[in-house]
Amino acid sequence: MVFAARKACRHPRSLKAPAQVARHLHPSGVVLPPRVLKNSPPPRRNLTARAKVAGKGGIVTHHKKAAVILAALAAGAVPAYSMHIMEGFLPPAWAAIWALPSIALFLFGASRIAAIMRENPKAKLLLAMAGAFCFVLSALKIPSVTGSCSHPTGVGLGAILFGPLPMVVLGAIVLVFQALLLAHGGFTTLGANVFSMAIVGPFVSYGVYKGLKILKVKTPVAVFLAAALGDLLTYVATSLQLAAAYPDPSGGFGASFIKFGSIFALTQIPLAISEGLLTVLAFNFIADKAADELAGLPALEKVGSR
Amino acid sequence: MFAVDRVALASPGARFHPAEKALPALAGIGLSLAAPRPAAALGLFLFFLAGGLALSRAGLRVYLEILAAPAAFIVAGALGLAVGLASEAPVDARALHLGAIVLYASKEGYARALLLGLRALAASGALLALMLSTPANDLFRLARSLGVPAFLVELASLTYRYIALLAETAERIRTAQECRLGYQNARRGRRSLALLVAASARIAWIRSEAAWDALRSRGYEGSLAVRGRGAPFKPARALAYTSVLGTVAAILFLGAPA
Repeated sequence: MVFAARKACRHPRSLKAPAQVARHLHPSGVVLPPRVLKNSPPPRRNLTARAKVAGKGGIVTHHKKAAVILAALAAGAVPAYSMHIMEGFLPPAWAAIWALPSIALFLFGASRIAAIMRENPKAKLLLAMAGAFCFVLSALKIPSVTGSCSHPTGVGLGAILFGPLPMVVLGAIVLVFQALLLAHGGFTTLGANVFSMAIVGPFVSYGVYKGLKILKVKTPVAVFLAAALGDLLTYVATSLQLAAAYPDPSGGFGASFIKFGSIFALTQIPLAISEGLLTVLAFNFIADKAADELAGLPALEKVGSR
Repeated sequence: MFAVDRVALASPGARFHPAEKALPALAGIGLSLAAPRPAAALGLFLFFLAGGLALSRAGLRVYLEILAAPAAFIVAGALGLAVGLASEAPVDARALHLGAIVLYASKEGYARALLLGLRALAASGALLALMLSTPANDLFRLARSLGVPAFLVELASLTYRYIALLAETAERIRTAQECRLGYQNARRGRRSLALLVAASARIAWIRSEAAWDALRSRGYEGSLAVRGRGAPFKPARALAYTSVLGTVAAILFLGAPA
């Protein structure tokens, strides 16, 4: 029943009659006004189809062609979840190189967490719940501005709420669970993934947020930029890691970085904007509705001043 | 509950000690990285697929559904290797001129992407064989016995439990929002999702407080006592699995066509 209801909610036009939708929506048979159903979203634009149409007119330049090809490839190939480097994808030497800074920062973060736990054993449960929150956040579907769906990295909100150092440890644990429960990423590439998603992203987000707050920029703007830039820089880091491991035979590292960056940028720039908007809304809701419960979090201490 | 978790808990392979599966899985990841030719990597993947299915009894459809996401990541990564950017395209390559630079696809690029993609697929297959037959609690037990600091294992173990709790809560909120047309368009969807995130954060906080009270009232002193399955480690079994894998890999590495 739940699945039927979901299907109906997502694709109201796919059903024959509004009443049928309503029956799916509520077991009690409450009929929704047809007006609501008329407001269903327009059909999604298909890049490949658009490319075909443009091609018939004969006005597509090489630049547009290349962009369309890359967009179509990326739209088809780049996965919905945040970009993990898969198990076995990095040569052992590069896997070790990225693991070294990750291990160092992880140990630093872990020692901080151990100290916090010694002082306040209750913090263990809160940190565990924060880790679970980050995992669930990264598994939610987010509507992207391109019309497709993707998943937030969650690093921006996590770093703003919990700080960057705990996020290194929590991020590493979340990445292990993503490998174990969702088959995303892997153990040989854990160091590289921790570096991009649990170090670069959170530190950039936290730095941007704090920097803008010092400059007295309004909280929503600071949160948006922190989340969007944290997301984008995560993908820049992933592109750098892949480009360093696999430089282009002709163009070298630079060409390879442009290649990987272009593939990710097509989906990740819209996703970063979406995640920025989502984070602003979520942060505002948290500050408004859950400020009493979450008053201990550093980001919410001075939220009244925004 | 996640598909991998569900399969692992019900799998017949779960009754074996986790180290007996972790050892061949790690060896399998190493061998996948060393596969000299695409056919050898593909052969290894098929071996891990068969091994994973035999250990977990997951069913091919479920297995392929779980594999879909990693496969998409692999395709995305391999795509960058299949094409090249340069000021001049190689002679035998298909080229697309973008002003001063050329986007080209050469046979070498395809071959490189194919080999790397299949290696990664085989390594993912090895990891999946372990995951689908080993519940997370067994892996925590293994981590503890390997000397990972207790507080980290405890933190991971608590996070694992809370993931299930929060994921279920988020799922219920999402279903309720969908049934109220909360995701009818992108704008509404973004607002609904933000509410969901905020509600999840609040619930996470409240539940962590409640869990603390509940644990303290049961005499919690810093570590959760969880009973594992307790199967003894049988080195002979681990060695047997690894030997079979080694033999298959040797045959594939020496005999697979180029």
